[in-house]
Amino acid sequence: MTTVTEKAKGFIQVDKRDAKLALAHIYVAFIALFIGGLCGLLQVLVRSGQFTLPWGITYYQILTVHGVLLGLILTTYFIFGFQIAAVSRTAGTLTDKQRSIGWIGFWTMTAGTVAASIMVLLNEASVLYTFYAPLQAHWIFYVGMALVVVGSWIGGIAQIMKYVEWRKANPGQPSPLITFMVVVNLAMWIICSLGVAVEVVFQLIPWSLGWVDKIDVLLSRTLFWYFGHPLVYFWLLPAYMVWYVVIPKIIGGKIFSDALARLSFMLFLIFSIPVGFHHQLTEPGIDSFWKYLQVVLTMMVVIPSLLTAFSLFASFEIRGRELGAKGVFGWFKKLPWKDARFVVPFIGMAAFIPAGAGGIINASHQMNQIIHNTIWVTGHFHLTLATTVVLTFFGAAYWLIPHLTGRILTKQMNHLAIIQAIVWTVGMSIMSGAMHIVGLFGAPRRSDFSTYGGSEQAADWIPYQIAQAVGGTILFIGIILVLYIVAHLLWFAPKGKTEFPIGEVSEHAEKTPMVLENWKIWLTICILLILFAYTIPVIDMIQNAPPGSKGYKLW
Amino acid sequence: MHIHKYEKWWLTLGATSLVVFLIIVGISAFHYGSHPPSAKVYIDPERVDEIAPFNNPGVHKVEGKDWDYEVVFVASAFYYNPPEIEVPFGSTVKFIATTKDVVHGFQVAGTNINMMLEPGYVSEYVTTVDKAGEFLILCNEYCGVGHSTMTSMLKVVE
Amino acid sequence: MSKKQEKEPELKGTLYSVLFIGTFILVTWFMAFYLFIDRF
Ligand SMILES: [Cu+2]
Ligand SMILES: [Cu+2]
Repeated sequence: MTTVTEKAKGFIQVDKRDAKLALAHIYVAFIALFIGGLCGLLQVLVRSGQFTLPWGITYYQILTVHGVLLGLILTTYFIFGFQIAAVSRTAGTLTDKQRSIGWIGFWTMTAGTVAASIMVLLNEASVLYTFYAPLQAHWIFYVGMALVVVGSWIGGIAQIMKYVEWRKANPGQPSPLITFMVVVNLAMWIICSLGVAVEVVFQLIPWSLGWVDKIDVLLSRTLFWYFGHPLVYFWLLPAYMVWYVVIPKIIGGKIFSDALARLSFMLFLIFSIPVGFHHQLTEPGIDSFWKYLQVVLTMMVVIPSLLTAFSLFASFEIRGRELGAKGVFGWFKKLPWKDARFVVPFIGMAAFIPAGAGGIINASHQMNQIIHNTIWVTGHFHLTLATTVVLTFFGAAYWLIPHLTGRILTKQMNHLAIIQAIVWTVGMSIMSGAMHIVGLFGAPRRSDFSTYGGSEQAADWIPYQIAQAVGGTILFIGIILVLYIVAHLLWFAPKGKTEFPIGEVSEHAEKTPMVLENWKIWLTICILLILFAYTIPVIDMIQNAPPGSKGYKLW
Repeated sequence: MHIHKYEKWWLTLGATSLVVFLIIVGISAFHYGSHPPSAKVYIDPERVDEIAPFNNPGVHKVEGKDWDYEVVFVASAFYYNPPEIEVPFGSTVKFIATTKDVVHGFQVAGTNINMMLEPGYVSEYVTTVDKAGEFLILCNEYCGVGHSTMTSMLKVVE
Repeated sequence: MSKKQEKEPELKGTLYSVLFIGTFILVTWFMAFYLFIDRF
């Protein structure tokens, strides 16, 4: 087994110029983590009832910052940094043209981020990152968000171009697994973000500029959630890339099956998008039948995750047995429990068990009424995004950043990284646990501290809100720790070579059927399913639309 | 494609569980009528106060319907009208609500009554109130600075 | 498809692990369903 500090030779090194592009994204991601995390800390403190915000800052302003920076900026930038490096590492150095397109994408997204952030800071856009028309933000906020999306398309195209080039140069061969996965994720992202782009460009911007007076609220929400669910899979799939491709290499094993990995990604592509109604289950104006149909499709998207769980355990068990493990669970002890690159994402995987179970409950049609818009939901996506995905990204940062900066993760930093993950686990268990429980009692999400007119029920929620503050404070300590490690890896760690670990496929696995890389088939199924799930209810929505809504600024 | 024996078992078990979940919620919805709130009733959001039943918010006893009471709510930033209602224990109640301005939530804490109120749409939900007590009604969809002060109270009395 | 007669890797631990996940999902789902039925 390779140790973290080992200076091995012969690694495939990501080209310096590509590394710079990837690092630019990673810088922005971690700046967003700091500011967004700070806002999260303020939120839990406010909600404990023990603290009020100074200087006229409102709860909903910091909530908007927290949501936009962590849900959209941290994720998209880290994902792009990771994906650019992964494509360059496995499909070859980007051409100058591809790299320039990558930079154009980066600056477009960044310009949009800055514009939107300024409007939020000026309290012109406290509409949360889900937009919530007919609350009406300043048009610059919407233009900023549109630029983020368009910039991500441009940056995504740079990555796709490399894949296309590779396929042309290697006809009849399956592409490098992680590059393939990157392209699946981008395909899903582009198809789904078309929805939010239509909402922003054709509804929100003309309406906020006063070119039109009224907005169709239900249509805007439907367009948003057409994007909003695949958005969470856009966060999750890069974590799955790490689990499928990188982790087997780190534990010294092999990828269980290349074919099954590709199959599960294609299933994500086709089933992640036509499911947005599971966020709109309690809304009027959509027939229960169409909601149920999308609930069925939502359950289908669970299946690739079931496949993933099996593949991961299998690669762990096979490796443990190679190392001489005996008994049913002996292999578990053989895993590299001292290597942060494994331990940190492993905690993320473990968190996905309760996260996934909660997600199935949320999507179970009328059962959604138990938890809809309660803080249970916040607890849920702090397990999926803020634990599963984020810990996997942290674990990846611990080899990705030193690989790109030409440094190494020292023993002490490796140790600190494991401590960081434990701090995160403790803080999140307390915070998310409290959110899940009190959500079942009915405590709402996205709400300032309130005693609800002295209601007895609401009084019972306060101890849980204090627990959330305790957990959230511990999580903020976790953020400080990870930023310290990241700063070290960027600027101070000893120079050296760090591997970008890419697993090899097990010799027992069978040859990958090329049908898994036949985009015509999969994209056709993807689009047909979207049309199937959305055409009739959307036509109904438009034909029966009530009078539209004028804009309100109620914050 | 070759798939390991255990993986086949696992996928069978997983897929069967999902199908069981879907059958249970499907039968509850389409056979027993336990749908999530999905009314398709439309209204001009700027004329809510003039249009029945919203010109007369409150609790109304009704005859000859599948429910005993109709409870009519009008939501607006940052109030519910009426601010408090009382219904008898064990009665079947139809909640009918809409909003005059932005999107609001309508949630009765500790119950399954949880629906979105969107301008232009009427939201409806029918249930039998089989627990006595005071239940907080609150807005659970962000609607502006007064969002967390937007409440009403459901009293189920014996 | 190749007709390898190679024996399958021993994956008992994997089977038990995923069965644990499956049980967890089933138990939590039915608890939530019970809550839904119990409430009005
Ligand atoms: Cu979703
Ligand atoms: Cu509200």
